[in-house]
Amino acid sequence: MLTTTERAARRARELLREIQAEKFSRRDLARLGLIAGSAFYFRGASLRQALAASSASPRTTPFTERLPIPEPAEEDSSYPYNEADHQYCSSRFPMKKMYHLRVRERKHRFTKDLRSPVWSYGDNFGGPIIDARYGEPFCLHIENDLPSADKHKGFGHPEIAPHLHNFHTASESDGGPWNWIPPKKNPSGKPNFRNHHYCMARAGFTTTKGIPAKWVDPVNGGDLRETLTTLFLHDHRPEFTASNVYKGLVCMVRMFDDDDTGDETTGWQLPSGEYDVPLILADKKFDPDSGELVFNQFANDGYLGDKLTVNGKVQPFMPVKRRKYRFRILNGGPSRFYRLVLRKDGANQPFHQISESGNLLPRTRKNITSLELWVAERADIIIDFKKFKNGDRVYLSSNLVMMEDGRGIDRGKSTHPDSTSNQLLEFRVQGVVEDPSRVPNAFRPLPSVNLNEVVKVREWDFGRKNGMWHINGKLWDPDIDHAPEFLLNPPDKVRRNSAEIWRFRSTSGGWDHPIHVHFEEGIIISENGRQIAPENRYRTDIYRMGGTRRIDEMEVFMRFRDFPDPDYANKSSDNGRYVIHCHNTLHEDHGMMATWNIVP
Amino acid sequence: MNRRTLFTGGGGVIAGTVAGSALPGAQAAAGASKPYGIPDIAVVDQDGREYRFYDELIRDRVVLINFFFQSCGDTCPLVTENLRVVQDALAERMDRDIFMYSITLQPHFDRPHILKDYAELWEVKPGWKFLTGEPDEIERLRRALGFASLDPEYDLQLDNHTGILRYGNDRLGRWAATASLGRPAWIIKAVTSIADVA
Repeated sequence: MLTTTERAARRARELLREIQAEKFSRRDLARLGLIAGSAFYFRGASLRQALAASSASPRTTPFTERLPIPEPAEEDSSYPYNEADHQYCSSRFPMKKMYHLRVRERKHRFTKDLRSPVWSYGDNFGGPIIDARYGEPFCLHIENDLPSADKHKGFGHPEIAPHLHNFHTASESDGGPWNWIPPKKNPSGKPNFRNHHYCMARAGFTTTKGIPAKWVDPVNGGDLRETLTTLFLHDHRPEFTASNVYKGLVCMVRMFDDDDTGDETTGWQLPSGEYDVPLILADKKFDPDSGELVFNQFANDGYLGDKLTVNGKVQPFMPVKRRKYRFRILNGGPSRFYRLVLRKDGANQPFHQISESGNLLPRTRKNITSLELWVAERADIIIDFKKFKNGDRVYLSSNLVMMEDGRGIDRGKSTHPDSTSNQLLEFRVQGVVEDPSRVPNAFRPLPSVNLNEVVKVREWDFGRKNGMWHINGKLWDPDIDHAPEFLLNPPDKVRRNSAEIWRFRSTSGGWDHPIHVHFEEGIIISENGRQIAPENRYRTDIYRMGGTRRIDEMEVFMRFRDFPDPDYANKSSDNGRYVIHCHNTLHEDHGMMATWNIVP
Repeated sequence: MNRRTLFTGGGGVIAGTVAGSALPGAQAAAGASKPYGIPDIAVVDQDGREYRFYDELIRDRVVLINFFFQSCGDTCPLVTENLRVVQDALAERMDRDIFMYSITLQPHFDRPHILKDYAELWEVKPGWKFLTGEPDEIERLRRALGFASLDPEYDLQLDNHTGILRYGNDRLGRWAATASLGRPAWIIKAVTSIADVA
């Protein structure tokens, strides 16, 4: 049985369609208000709310779906592979294992009555989880089995550019927004697969300059303090990144080593195995009638869904034991930020944060109660459920309000974290098991910030232009790799094995931008002209421009080491070519990206 | 100093405000039976011919859409020149399976004869239409096609809508946008990548 509200919403929707299909004037609007909104007027709501209700996702019941946990990707080295195609591959880091990712379309159930075609890396929405280990170079063989470009209907473009976010990767394997992989049936007959090679060596493996001996990896070279921990793979097709990722092209990547071992009885003894759980947060919207995923292809500034999903399920639940868990939380975008809190009985519950932006912190942030997570950021947290009782329900919620068009945080507003619409995940505490895991107080220190190494201060200005988004006054040109003038003289040349200060400035007037730099994470040393004290620094690949603290100027210390490989036989012009862009993927798709090159 | 051209004519602005707050862009009908909430309004081209925007100009077509105004001195002439290069490069596909629409932001000033002069100035060929219509309806079209900002002050400046070049394939239901001042080589690559395979 439909409730009065649902009936009114349905009627509003019908009228809206009718009016959109026909003529539309202020008189029609008034008619719409009088008729469709009337039920809402009785309830004291506005026409605007009546209309918003008419385009909302169908009602769902939270905590009816169990949280799916991605399975580790399976190794499969039966695919063609040529070492000579990859930098530092045959010479130093020959591939030791290969994962195969088949990108395909399938039907996915987000919750009861919400089933939709989605795209995924592998057989499950949100992909498998890719486990890598320092010292074990690996290859991803990515195969595009999506429907052909002239068969697929609706949002998303079946040409894919999978990018391993934040890794110290050779440009040919970076999966940047060039040379995307077409689907199997494509008119030019191009191959529908590509290999990416990852050296699994830490930054600085070609030089020991500035690295104290105790932090040099004795086997592979590189600075142990540059270790990367929680990463993710996502699509990067120019002008379709937002829709392709939204449609499902995202998966988590974990990197282990001799301290963060993946075994809770060794090394740092972080919670491991089934107690090391990735959580991919993504807000979605569903068609009120078909229950399929919808996306606004005409949005330039941001896109917000009205349903919160974790690992592809709308507000799932997760049974947990009374022990410690490590959660690797990713904000999968496209535009929503979160301020995460852990709630029980109306009160915040403390937890520990061990990584920011996917990199282990120098010191664990113990007993924090909230955590901001911008698009593409990852945070590893540890929750100890031991203090809860069997049968307890604990909620991961967000209490951040975003502006309607998704452009950023609505600073003046607050929302109750215990309101159902803000709850992401319900933990159901039941049972106790052995817990040999520990939470170290400290991990590795940060790499030193040595201003004597800096050879250049590079300015990056982020703003709006004619309804699009720009960097340094320019809208990104996806075809730059075919522009002779660019190839001859790239505008932003960074010297290999040098350090720079990158100065970010937002001139877009109060809009929030999670700025992301490929290849290298940096250390923020000043914000709005104020120095960041060394004890408050961290390594990051996302720079929060705007936000509640209204940061419109930031200085970042960055090192650019190792790549391009001087001995790499393939002297193509894209060696050393990377991008910087806004990770609100709507801004990214509408010009807010720039190309820069590392040159010998 | 940069002269800012604002929307003029109370009607347009008021309708814009009302429609803007009531209709969350195309989102309202995304995925609904009438695709993407593109309104099927009446429009007039530079030759004074009338069309239903969706049924006659968009349905089953591959299109490039931008907004401009005739008196625009800064961006629009550069955009029009850029699109002319695109038109020439797409030569035999124009008016056959790819169409371009430049829609005025000042429909009360840019009447068909003004658009006609403008089109002739830029040597516009068949397949590229300059469109105007009733101000309220063009305003509705602008919002539905995502050439609007929720920031009312930003939205009022006409030049803040001239940098977007929307491209789409209605049959496939696929839409994206690129820079209207982007390199023609990319614009062509972008639009043909979503066009039906010839």
